[in-house]
Amino acid sequence: MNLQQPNANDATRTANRSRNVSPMSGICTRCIDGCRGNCEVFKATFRGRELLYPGPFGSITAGGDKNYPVDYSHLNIHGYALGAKGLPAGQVGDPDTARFPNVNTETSYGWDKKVKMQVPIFTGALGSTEIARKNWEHFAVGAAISGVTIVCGENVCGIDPELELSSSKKVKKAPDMDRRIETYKKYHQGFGEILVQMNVEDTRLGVAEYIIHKHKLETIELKWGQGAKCIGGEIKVSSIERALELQKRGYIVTPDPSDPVVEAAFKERAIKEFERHSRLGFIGEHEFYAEVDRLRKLGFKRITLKTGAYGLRELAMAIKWSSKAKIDLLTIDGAPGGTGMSPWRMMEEWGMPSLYLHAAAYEFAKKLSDRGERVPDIAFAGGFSSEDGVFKALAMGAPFVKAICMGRALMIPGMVGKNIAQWIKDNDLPKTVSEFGSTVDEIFVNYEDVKKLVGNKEIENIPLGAIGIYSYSQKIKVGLQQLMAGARCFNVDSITRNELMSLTEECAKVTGIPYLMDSYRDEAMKIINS
Amino acid sequence: MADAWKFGLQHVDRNDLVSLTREAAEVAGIPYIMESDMKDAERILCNGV
Repeated sequence: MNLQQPNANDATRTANRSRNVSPMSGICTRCIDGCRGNCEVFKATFRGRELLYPGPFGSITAGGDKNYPVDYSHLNIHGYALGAKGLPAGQVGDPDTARFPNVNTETSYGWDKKVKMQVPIFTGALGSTEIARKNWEHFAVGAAISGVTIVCGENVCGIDPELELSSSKKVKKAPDMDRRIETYKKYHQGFGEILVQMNVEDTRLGVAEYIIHKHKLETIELKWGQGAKCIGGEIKVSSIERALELQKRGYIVTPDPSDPVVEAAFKERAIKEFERHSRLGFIGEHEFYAEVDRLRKLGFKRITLKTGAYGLRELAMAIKWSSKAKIDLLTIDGAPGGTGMSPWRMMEEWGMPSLYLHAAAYEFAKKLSDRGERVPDIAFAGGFSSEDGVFKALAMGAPFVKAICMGRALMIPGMVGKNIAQWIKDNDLPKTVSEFGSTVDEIFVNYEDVKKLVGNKEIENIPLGAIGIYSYSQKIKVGLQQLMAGARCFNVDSITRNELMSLTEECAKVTGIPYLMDSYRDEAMKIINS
Repeated sequence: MADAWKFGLQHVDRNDLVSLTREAAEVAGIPYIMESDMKDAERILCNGV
């Protein structure tokens, strides 16, 4: 059985000419000399390396579609006909108290100094990609009013055209980072936080020093990797001047904009854009502890770590070293993940898929915990978009997993809200939206809630993408309350692995979650035999 | 190759792959995904290195 067919995908804006395709190569069974397109090989014939990436850069996000042998759909959620765990202290569960709107979806993370969130979700790293930059206001205000954390990704200072460096090449002024932090803080409601991610280039530029001295941020994130790829963060720039500037700031820029041949090709418009790449990191145990120590001495109250879909060795390092370094949140992002820019075939074919990675993470965390070693709070990431996924991930990783990191899914409402604003202005609402009305308060079901939250006057300044994210987070929250009530878990901490069953023997073997015909069998037999 | 930390073709080897199914592991002799690197992982969980 083929799990993923290459050579044509909407991500690379390609398609096979024929309906009949060889599964392994993805090449049409009848490949014709004279074909006018449009498979990946056809297009790579004249656009070459451009075909490595989903596109167009800046207006899309991409997620891989390899159909792995086992994924979260192989788990189902239990519902029970009795019981109520996690009700407020002293409250007895009965049909009047154990109502689904009473379910508490609040969560928190942190080794000592906890950060509370109203819903157990937070944004993936929104970094230097164009789609993160141009939609930031929507994402940041949306996360703030939803009471969840937002992660500002790597390289934000490094690519800022208005960045000012000191004589020692450290960040002196970074207006885009300032804007990002201030936007979130302005609407912060006491839940969640903004934290900033840091990679090799950010470390060299002194981003940590800048954000703590100027903005007094409490949390910074070290970055080992992500689910979408295992090379550094990437963006595209379309001017040779920008490409040269980024090269001067220490980034890897391809093709080399200082090469006269490349310059000539750019002038001829054969080369239309440049790629800016970050460096590969090299992790080491003592270097990791030293860096955590340095950041704590700078004044950060919390240090978090994000790791990617690496194999079991690096996963063990992430969990063990985080335990020893008292890391405040460890985010474990599985393949294929989502992205603003990552090599398409890498997304499809690299790394540990989310379910496998998360299953191993639980196994490793449990091993440490059983030996009396404290496990840091964990977040799972890598392909989640709905409340059932959030529930399953919380249960799979219980009691270690406190929240789910969502990338693409949490970005969509920001973009949709922004576009609705434009469509209203242009009197061009699509029918999918106009069937609910033509004004903001008619279209957005949570408009009045947000107005109540920020005030009658301030609502005028709230971007519609933010109201979109609020509405979506409410959908996740209420859906989660329903699933949790069904599983008789009235707060996040009361969710356990027992709330899940495996639909296949293979899933049971990978995850350790019992096969559905074995789940609760002992309890059932006791009743039958009584 | 950069992803697998291999900076020359001669360094690419079978350890850079995992099998997604038991059947693939049996056919190809490439370790199953939940077993690949497990010895290293267990050692790290005990000692940190």
